[in-house]
Amino acid sequence: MSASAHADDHSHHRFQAHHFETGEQQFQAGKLGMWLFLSTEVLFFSGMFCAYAAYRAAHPQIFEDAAKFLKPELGAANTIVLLLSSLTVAWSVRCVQLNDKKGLLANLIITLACAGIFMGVKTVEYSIKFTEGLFWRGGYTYVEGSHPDLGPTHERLMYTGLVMLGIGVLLGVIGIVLGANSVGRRWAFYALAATVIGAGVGCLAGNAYTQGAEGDEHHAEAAAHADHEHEHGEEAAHGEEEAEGEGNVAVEDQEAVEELEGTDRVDGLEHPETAEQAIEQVQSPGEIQAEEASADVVLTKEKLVYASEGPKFPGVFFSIYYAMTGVHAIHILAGIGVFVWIVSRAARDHFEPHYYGPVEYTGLYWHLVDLIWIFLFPLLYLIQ
Amino acid sequence: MSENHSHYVTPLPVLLGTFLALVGLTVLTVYQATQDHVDFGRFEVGLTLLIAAVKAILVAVIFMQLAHDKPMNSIILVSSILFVALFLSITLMDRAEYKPQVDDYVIQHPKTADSL
Amino acid sequence: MIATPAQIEQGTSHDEKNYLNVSSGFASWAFTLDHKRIGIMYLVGIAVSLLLGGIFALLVRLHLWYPAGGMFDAKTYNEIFTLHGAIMVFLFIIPSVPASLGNFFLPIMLGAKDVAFPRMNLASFYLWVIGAIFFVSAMLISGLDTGWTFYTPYSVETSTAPVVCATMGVFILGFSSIFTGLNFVVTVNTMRPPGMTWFRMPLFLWSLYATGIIQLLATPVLGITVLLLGLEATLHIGIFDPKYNGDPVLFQHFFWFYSHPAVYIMILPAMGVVSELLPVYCRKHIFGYKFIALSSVAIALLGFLVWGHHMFVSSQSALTAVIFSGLTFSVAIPSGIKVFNWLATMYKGNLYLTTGMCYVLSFLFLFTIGGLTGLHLGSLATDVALHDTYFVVAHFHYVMMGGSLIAFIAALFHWWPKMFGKMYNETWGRISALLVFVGFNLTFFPQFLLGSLGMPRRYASYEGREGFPVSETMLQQFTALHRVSTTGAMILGVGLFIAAGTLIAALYYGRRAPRNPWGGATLEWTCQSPPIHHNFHETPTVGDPYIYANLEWDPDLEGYKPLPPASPTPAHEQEPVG
Repeated sequence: MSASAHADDHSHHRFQAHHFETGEQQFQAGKLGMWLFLSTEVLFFSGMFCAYAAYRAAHPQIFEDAAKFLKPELGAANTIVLLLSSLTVAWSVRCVQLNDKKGLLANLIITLACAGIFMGVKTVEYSIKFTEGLFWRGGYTYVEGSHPDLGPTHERLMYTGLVMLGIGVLLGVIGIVLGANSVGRRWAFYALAATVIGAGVGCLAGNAYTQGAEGDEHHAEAAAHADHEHEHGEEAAHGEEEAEGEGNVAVEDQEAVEELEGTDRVDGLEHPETAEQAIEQVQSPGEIQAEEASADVVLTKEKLVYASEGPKFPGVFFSIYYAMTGVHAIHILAGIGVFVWIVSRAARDHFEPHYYGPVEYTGLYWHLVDLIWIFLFPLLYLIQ
Repeated sequence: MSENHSHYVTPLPVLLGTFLALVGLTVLTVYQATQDHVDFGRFEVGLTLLIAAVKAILVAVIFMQLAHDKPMNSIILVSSILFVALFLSITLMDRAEYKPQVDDYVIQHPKTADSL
Repeated sequence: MIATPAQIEQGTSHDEKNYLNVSSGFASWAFTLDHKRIGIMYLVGIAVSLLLGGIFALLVRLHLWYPAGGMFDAKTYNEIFTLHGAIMVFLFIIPSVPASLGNFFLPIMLGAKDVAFPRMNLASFYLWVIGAIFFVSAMLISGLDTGWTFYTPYSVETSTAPVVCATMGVFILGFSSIFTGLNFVVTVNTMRPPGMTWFRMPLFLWSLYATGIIQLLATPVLGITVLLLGLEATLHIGIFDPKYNGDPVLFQHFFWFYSHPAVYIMILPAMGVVSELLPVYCRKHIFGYKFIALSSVAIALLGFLVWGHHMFVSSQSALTAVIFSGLTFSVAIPSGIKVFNWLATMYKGNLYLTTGMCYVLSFLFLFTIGGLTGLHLGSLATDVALHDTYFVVAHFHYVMMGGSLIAFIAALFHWWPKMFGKMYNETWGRISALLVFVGFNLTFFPQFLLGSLGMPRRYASYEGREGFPVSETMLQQFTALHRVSTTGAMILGVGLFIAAGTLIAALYYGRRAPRNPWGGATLEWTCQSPPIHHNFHETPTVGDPYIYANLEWDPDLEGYKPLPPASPTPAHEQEPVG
């Protein structure tokens, strides 16, 4: 249908700007604008992808080992939550196209709840890493083999989640009270309530899961320790680390632990003394071979560089992790803000099949945020 | 009058089917990455990214409706990705080229353990 | 058709209120969504930036009068050239033509009522203001001395506060620039009136469109670069800082991936201005319209392939350097196409040496010198010798100042009557053009010589010291050339003040401008001077923007008027070329 015919059908809806000839022109202009904005977003993230690729290409092993501190289950759960929110956003566009206001509001509320869950899970992930000292490079305080007590953190997270649930319910009540006369304000509060409740649920669920997973690991570690204590205590410590890193795999029996030790990769290179030894070995290749045979370690140049870079190198991985997920999370927060506004407008009947640009544009933005997560997830969580 | 808009309305089964496919691909990629049976070695990264790309295309084409949109919008998305590729490829190529020199320097000037 | 002065008066009284007097009061400007008012506000901001940057430039030149440096200590000198460079690049040149004149004229030349997103346009202006405040306060309060490029590791090792503050400013300014570019691209794509096909668009719009593409694709990379730089300076994320396992060369890749294309953000609109002014003042159809139009897009795209030529001596690998050096020469092709087409337009033309044309002619001269000296810097072997010398300084001033700034002034003189409805004094305008041309060459040509003699850039003194030995002969040469350059800078400054004075005086004492004082055929000359709030009473008819045959000088109007439409002029009726 041509634009002019379109214009004849229904001249000006109330949100048509004066400088557009038709509503269709306004819609297409807005959509093009949003797509151009999305292209700038792609390039904005490209800088971090570039940093990631540069450092991963230079030190693949370190990235693999550092990534073991991330729990793929949490990442996968968040991926599915975001995919679900993408579905509901696409669905809400369908609803507004078909003039289904209830469906539109329901889908948008689910979207916001999903966004909340995502942020809740992220809170759990960040908190636990902070407790472990897994900060960005400049603040990296993690010590190899240390096992900080995560108990208080879990407790704090649990209370945070509960408080969020409370705040969410409170927001809902406030919405009912304050929004008695204004449907837009009421739904804005409902939208906020859905988000915050979602965040509470995400926080609690993520927290409970991590706590459970850690319990399993402790079992595995205890078993490993008992078996290897007198033989090679040193290596058992590494086994622990590996087991902790591999926390996603429920390590239950001894064989699995031994297998992990067999594939021990970084070995002692994270320890400064060993690092210095390794450097000395550069000068005498003969010794390296001897070492290799006995310690079952392949000394590549990459490891030597890593050793010389100092023990805090994995901090660079976490720098990139925090930069990427942090900037992504800021985008989620921005999206939440816009969606609350969209819900409020939708409740006030602003949208109809001839005017739903804002829903569509915000949806496009949300899909792009999802798209970026689709790449972040495997690159950060699934490095093998 | 209410049906005259030319915008494409995505059927519900397509939306739901896409979502299920996306979830399936997510499960697949997690399984692939955490299983120990088949090791794809150096192709592991490529495989993971391939699955991610398929997911991304599904989202872009169906959820973002590029399949039924003006070609200009697809061109914008594709060209932004091409420019990302340009940026990454040249930068990474250069880094790979000068990395050996940096590595040699690093090995000769090892940091002390408690540096920064 | 005879128009007596009385009729003109009558005509004007019939005229609707224009955009300047349609409403008044502070709020009517501060919250305006009119692209013309936003353009004017940008113009004021840009003019202030130019003044600030210019003052710092003069301070730098005065300091270098004496070999030991006459005015400041080395640290202050570093801060002053940083202020000069950063203000000129981020606050002046990048927004200059697009944000002020582009905002004002893009919708009018297109035949649209406004840009696609007027609110975003206003937001872009306020972002510019906020960014500028961050930026200038960072530099004035705590002294930024990294140079405008913020190279690591120095930028993350030096005092953190100004770097973080300035990078915040750059980040915000980047968004302002993105919003402007996005608006232009969407406006051109979706708001062309019937008849305005792509190849009937004035070339100025083509160049703004190409600029918009660069702004959209390059600026976000600058955003993430300065964001990571800010994090590096505060949290030490170890991406750019070698002390924390980072890679400073990576920073330069990030930085130049934006900042090289940004060079074309600066020069493309200027090229558009020249393509617009030349045919008007030569009374001749532009030569090679499609080539000029498409070469703008070609420059925009090729501009993304050459960023590494800024890094030839920065530990970039030899392979990459060779590739970038080769690619760099490719940019000369579309630039050459433009210059040759301009010359061909002038050939056998009927040249009117108005002030605008005088500036355009100096643009052609200076830009060509700037472009040709770029070839020396683009080839690896010579660049190694010339890198970081005054040769580079002279080269980019010939392109950026001799190109962008001169074209900006030309455009101001050309469009001033349309923007404010007042004619300027042609004599003073021409005097300013002459002084600027002479002053410019006196300032910067000696710098080519200084550079080839081995004078490094950014040095606070040239009396010689450890690592920079200066023999007696060299000292004499350096001193003489620096003094010529400083003298030239003063002349240049006087010329620019006269230009500004001429334009400002026109607002108060200028006679009323007719609709079409120069006989332009683009759409802005069909609307009233100054234009009404909605630009046009009705959607204008679109023809070839460079046919002047159906315009006629009317001595009573003191402007051009269209010939009575005896014969409908088909769009393909073009001047014979060549």
